[in-house]
Amino acid sequence: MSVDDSVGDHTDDSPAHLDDWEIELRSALEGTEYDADLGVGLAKDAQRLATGELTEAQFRERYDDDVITNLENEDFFELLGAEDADLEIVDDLRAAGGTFLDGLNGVSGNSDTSRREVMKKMSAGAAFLGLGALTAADDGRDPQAAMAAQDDEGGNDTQFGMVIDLERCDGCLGCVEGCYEENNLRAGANWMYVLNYKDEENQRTAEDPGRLVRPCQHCSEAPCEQVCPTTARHTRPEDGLVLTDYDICIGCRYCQVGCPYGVNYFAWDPPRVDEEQHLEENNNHVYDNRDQRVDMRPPRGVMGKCTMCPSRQDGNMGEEAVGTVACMDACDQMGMSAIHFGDLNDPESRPNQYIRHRTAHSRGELEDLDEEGVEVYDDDDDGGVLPGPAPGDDDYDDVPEWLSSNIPSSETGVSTFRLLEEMDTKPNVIYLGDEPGPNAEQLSQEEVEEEAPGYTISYEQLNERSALAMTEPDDHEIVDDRKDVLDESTIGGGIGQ
Amino acid sequence: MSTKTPNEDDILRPIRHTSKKYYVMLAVSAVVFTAFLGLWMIQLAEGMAVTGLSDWGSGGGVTWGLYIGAFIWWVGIAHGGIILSAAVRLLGMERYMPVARLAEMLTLAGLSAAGFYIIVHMGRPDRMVTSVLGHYHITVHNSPLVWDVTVITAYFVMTATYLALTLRYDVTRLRDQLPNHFEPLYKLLTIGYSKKEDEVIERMVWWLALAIIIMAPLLLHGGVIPWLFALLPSYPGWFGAIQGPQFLTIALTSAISGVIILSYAFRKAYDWGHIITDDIFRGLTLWLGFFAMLFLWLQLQQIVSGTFHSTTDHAYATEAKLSHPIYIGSIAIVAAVLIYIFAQTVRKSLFSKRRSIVAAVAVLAATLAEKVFFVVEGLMYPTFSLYEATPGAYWPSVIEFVSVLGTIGMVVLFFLLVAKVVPVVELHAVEHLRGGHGHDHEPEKATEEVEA
Ligand code: SF4
Ligand code: SF4
Repeated sequence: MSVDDSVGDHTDDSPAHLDDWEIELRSALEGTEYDADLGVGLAKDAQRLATGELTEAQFRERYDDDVITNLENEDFFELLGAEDADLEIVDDLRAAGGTFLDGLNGVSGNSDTSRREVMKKMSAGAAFLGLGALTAADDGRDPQAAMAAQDDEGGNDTQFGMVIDLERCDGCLGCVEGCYEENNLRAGANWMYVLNYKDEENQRTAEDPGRLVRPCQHCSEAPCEQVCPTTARHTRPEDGLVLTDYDICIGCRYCQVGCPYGVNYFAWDPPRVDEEQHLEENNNHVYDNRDQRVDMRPPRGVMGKCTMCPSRQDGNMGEEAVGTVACMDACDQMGMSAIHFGDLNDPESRPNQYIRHRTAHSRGELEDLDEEGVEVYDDDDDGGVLPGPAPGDDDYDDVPEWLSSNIPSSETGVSTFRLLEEMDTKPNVIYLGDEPGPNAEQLSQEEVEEEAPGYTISYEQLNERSALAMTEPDDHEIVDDRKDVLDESTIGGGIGQ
Repeated sequence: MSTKTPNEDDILRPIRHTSKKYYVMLAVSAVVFTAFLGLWMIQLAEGMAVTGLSDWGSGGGVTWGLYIGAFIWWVGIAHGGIILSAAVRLLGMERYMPVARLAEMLTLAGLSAAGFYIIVHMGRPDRMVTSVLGHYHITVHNSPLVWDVTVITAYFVMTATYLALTLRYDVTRLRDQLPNHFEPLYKLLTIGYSKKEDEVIERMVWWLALAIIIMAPLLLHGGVIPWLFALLPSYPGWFGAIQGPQFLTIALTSAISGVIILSYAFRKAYDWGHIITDDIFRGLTLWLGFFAMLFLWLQLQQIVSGTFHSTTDHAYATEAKLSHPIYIGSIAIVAAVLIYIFAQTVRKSLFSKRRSIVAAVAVLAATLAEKVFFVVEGLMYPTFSLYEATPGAYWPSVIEFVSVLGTIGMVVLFFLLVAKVVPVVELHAVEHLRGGHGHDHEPEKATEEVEA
């Protein structure tokens, strides 16, 4: 999808360059009280504003208040195709002293009607121009980069990923639950999964197990994507997330076979939340900013896996959700803050801050910290700066080196690893803590309960804790025996062991 | 062994005569095939949870199982058939001429069964065309599955062309004796035929045969099909260069077995002892032994390299394989067949057609089991084996089991129907057996052919 065409200078448009949206918007405006040229020009400049070509001051300079006020009424939005619900928002915003721009944003971000729906209903390009661009700008991301990323050729430096501190994880399974609820997952299809293991080589025993928190690794060289016969599995150029287009996938399951980590979950059975209801309730949440269905659980017959919440990153879930993922939120809420999601290429992102902070602390360079050594993130201080080396400090630049390879703890104070680096998948999840060796063996829940009581909670305990599972046990039981769930639907055979 | 001279009437017999047994077979294979179609409808309606499959990883199962194993098996049978027929033309192995067309037809039927498996295996078969073709120009660069679909299609087209070209010769000459109700079809087949083309066609067929012979080891069962697995370093049971040759030997053993069974059935049904001679069976059985030996040899290579001093994951996967009854069982069957075949070459009295059939059926069962096991084992013992305590095992569901019978029914149905329309033995073969008919082959009688 390219938006280059719509960022043209409106003064030199010749009919040959007219885009469909422009023709549509123009014909919609003609025969109304509005000046069509002015309307189209304004819509275009609104976009240039969004892409940073124009500052708000310049924008205001170009259009005197009268014009803006003139356009700032319901009719204009109606022309753009906004629905009643949106118009109410526009009204509210205006009552609160908001401007034309706030109005556009209101329609795009906060309404019940999804942005996607608005985009669909609005005359094609005008919608994209007016709304898509502005939302991109309002995400707080670099709009220029976001736009460039839309271009197939483009892509920018953003690479979302995670730093997971295994030493902080206490086995509360908050992340598993958070992901399950966020995405309406099928029973046992735990996109986020926590394993306990013993590994004699690393002195991990049943009494003192090791742990691995396992989302999709969102690999930069993702084999799942390479083998996909349809391009359904793809990397989103703007932020490096590896996603599945649920409308293209044919369900051949080669991605699941190609992935070395076992993180894919096919939609074998009907979903626990009915498809229609799911789409109706989550319209904002299932489509990303490219209007592709890539988020939440897949419909039957196609592949799903951890998405790292693209619709949150796109602002569809509201401002405050941008830059967060459901598992991280849940982990923070449990007071653990073991998961740190963000742009690995941005030195100021949460994972990078965390890793610097953690190193400094492990090296004993930070004093006066609480016992845990890590400040806990909660809802209020998301994105807050953790103590650690600052730009200019010697240690500050260590991070890229850190992230590129597994470095022994003797140098860093804490060992880091990426899973199966030798497979050259370039995973974007960096772990702090011990790596499970090749002979590591998963411990069953029962084994852990017996040998290391309290090391993790069981799925039964998790369900007792989960309010939803309590009220609607059939639909909301979180389990980890996917095979047993599926065997219930198997026709003759499929006997477990 | 019969010394009757074969003639046109012989090869027209399947078209002209329909026995009660024919109807019974037709009914049985139609019922089995329809039964599977019905079960497949259930799968489409209820979702693939009706199979015994699950996700590997915390899903505790395998995501590919019997469907993919049977897919490989059918492709193997299919393209082994065409190799046999191509060898007849290229290498002048004329004694097998009477079964060449059966082998070609087996290729078409086998590829159809394999193609059907691809569709049955998909979660969203309705999107096959739009999603796969629509992105072909991108995915063809790196998806082995796309390579597969490409090569299978190419093979199908080549084989169909090959068959159609050779059929023109027969249909034109036998036209008067062929049933009138298929007239339009014969017209279409022989459109623009003139005697002058025979020579050209013969050359074209030769080139096609050459292309097929070259493509088979390089691309099909020696290439793209094993590459589906052999290119994935995270599965020690699959990864590595040996899978190409290994798959090829499996393909050839199962294909020869398929041809043996097919030839026997036709010989028995239409009294073709003088066309598909004992000699052909002896030869085919010997080839079966030869390929079975290669098959076992390559299995041995894998076992030795997986047990001697291999990496942890590889050793683990090999150990699991060696302790599984399905693997041991299928290897033992192939070994037993090999021993029998060696024994009957030394002591000729041990040979009987019936024993050849038993050997062929046993080999087909063993290769199917081995292939399904291969697929499942790979996913059960990946390099990232941390999910071990996750409960779950794979056992195919009734639908999956019936799919094998269903596709066999489909292939039988194919032969029953095709045999009513066109001769399944080439006219050339009869002419050849009779001692050349406008052909420059050395006149010789089947009965005089030298034992291999
Ligand atoms: S972890 Fe697996 S599914 Fe995720 S991007 Fe990597 S290969 Fe693909
Ligand atoms: S299951 Fe879907 S996403 Fe995965 S490889 Fe097949 S088509 Fe691609």
